[in-house]
Amino acid sequence: MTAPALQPGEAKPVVLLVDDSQDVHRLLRARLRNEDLELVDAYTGGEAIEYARDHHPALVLLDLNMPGTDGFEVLRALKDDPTTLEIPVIVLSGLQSPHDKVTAFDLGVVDYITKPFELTELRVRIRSALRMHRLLQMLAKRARIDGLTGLWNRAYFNQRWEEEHGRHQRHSHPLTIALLDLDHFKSINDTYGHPAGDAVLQGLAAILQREARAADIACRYGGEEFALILPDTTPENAQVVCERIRAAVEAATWPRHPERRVTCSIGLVGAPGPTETCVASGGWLEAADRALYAAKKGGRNRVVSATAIGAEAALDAAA
Amino acid sequence: MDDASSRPADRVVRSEFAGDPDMAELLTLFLDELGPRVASMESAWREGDADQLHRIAHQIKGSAGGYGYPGISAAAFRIESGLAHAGGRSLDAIKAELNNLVDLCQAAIRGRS
Repeated sequence: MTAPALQPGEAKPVVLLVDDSQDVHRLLRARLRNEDLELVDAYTGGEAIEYARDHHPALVLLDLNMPGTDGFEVLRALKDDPTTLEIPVIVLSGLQSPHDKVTAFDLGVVDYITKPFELTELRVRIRSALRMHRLLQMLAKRARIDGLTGLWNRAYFNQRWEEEHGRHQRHSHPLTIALLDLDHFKSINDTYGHPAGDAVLQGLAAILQREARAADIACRYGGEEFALILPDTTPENAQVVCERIRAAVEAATWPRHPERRVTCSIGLVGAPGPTETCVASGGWLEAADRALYAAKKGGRNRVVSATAIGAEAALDAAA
Repeated sequence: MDDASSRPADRVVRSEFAGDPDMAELLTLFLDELGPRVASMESAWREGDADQLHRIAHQIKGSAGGYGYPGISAAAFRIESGLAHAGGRSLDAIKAELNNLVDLCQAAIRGRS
């Protein structure tokens, strides 16, 4: 999987309006007609919770006083569910006791507007909440992306690798991890300068994104080292993908140094399905690293599977 | 609700948004529904149905201001809080507030353009 684009989506943010009164829905639909948003109507708390879980709106406008599931219950349900926890909520309420405001803010609302509302104020508060939400999403995304190459960064790799490894252990799906290191990268930097080295790192990232499959997770692991997680992939099939990447790197020409080819070495370790031993996620990385070392030792510009060098014995020892 | 002498029958309340083309259709809908709501509140009062009265007053309070009738919202709020304080006692205590709200709503219905 390639890293997501950083541009805010072209789609209008979806705002979920939760109110039992038809009057309020009609009024807000008319008054927010020219805003850059798409309004979705929910008339009960239950409907609202279900919609939020399925569609993750950018903002919820929530009435507190509703028959059945009231606004406070909706709020608790949204905040108790990790998948809806981050959705900002503005309370639109006729209740005016300070206690309700305190409770609502304690439960995590971002704003509180009392009915009957002043429409200009409502519009600017909605805009402000949507702006903040967009920025937070962008920051969260940036925090997972490597600035130079646009690939997933090490922090995201660590989290994702644990997840994929855990999934493999629970469901016995095949799984392979590959570590890739550029050969003699230091000499490229020394000979052609760091901008040329950066261009090689970016070029390698582009090759990874092009040659890996949509479900593969390409990450910059550090320096000139990259990691590729191949979910649902046996080591045999992963070897084919890695060989394709290796060949594409070798075949590439580099505008800053057309006379100098670049190669890479790849070490991989994987399990074709259920494994007898339960190897910790770190044990896999060590085994992949040994395979990578063997690829370097063996003359570079090659793909080595841990199976071929018995590094899986080390895997078993780590179990 | 029979002391009609105290109600100027020609009194008119207009929405703050009366000239706003965006609002014309919405105001028509709101005013169309206001008459039946007033009737429901009056029958709820006669039948001593405090819950129903509270529910309608709450809805009117929440929406009337948004349709350009802040006075109607304020009057509905007085009924809502009057009912909260009455705590199940006779609804007579809020009769004056109800009359006031009904008057304003009827003035708004007369004032539709």
